[in-house]
Amino acid sequence: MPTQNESMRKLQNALVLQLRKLNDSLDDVTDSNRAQAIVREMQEVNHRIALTGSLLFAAQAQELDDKVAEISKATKTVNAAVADIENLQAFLDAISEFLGLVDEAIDLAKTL
Amino acid sequence: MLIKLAGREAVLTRTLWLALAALVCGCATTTQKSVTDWHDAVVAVREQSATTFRGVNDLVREAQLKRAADLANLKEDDFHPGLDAKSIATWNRALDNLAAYGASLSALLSPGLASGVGDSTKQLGASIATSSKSTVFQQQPGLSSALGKLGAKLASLSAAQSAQSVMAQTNSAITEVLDQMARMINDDSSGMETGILQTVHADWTSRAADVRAAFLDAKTPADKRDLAAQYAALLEKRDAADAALLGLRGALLELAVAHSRAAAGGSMDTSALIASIREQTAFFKGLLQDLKPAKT
Repeated sequence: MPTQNESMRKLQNALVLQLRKLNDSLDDVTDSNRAQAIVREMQEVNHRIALTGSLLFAAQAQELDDKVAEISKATKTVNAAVADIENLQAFLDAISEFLGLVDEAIDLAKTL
Repeated sequence: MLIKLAGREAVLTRTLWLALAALVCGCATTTQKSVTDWHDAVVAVREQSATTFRGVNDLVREAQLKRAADLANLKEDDFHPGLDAKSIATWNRALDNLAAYGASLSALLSPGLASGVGDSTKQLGASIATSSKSTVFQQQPGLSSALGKLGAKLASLSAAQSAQSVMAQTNSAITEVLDQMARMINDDSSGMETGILQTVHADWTSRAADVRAAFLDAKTPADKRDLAAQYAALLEKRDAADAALLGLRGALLELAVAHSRAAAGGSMDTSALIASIREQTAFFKGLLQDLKPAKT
């Protein structure tokens, strides 16, 4: 059974082919009234092409939303990796500071 | 004892230089610049699609107003938006997520992040030497800087490996999202032609058909010439609109290809893409200007 999107695609495609056929039929028309009738018909088909196109776009956008969650998850992983490196820097700074304090304490102890 | 310590320091120094040399010669990975270019290309595509979608909606609305002249009554469906606001918001959200992902990768690969670790490593080395009363940094002035470079290189390699691993894991999702977006613009699979491009192409064809019908009523050669010029201009606009939409589709696919290349350890270069996106956006900007009602 075709999905909703596939059915919508088939419909839009059929309308596109219909519009093309109507447009091609204008090649042989020399009667103005006949041409106007074809143009009005094209206007109706064109309206439905836009309508099915809009519905198809909305259905595809919904599918898109489900897939985007994966990217959001990846961004969180990358941000965690950035935080890891920043934490490493903070850790190295803390040890340096700690060693400095130890040295100060030793120097102070020597004066006692 | 002192000789033993001095010997140990010499071995340590040699090892440090060798490690640094080995790391510096390490294989090339994705650079921050190429990731930043990719992020910028995503942002440019967002701008491009915003302009394009506004143009599509204005075109559809114009066609609806023209059709309304032949209607007996008005229904909501007669004025259905070409592309609805909710779906456009979803589209934008997808691009925002891709841009945020690119920005995070760029931050991870930032030389500043690695050099911060390098500076801290250098500082720690100096602190350890002071605490242990070692004179190794006085004897070898370059050692402190080498230690810093080693720390920075290790941090940079770790960042590059994390970036590579995330890109490899995320690649199929990124490709799927960008492929789906490209299909929303134009999908010519399974022997069918669907998408926004078809809506826009049909609209221009209908406009041109109007002129073809009017041509049959033209009385003078001058009238015929004017209508022929209008017809040719509409066909040109239709081709330009097709090209702009295919350009947007191409940009989305190019972003996917660049990401796949980087995920496989290659270059993510998309710098040329941004210039081409800006060029394609110009058509719909011009169209929006044309569709604005004249000031009275």
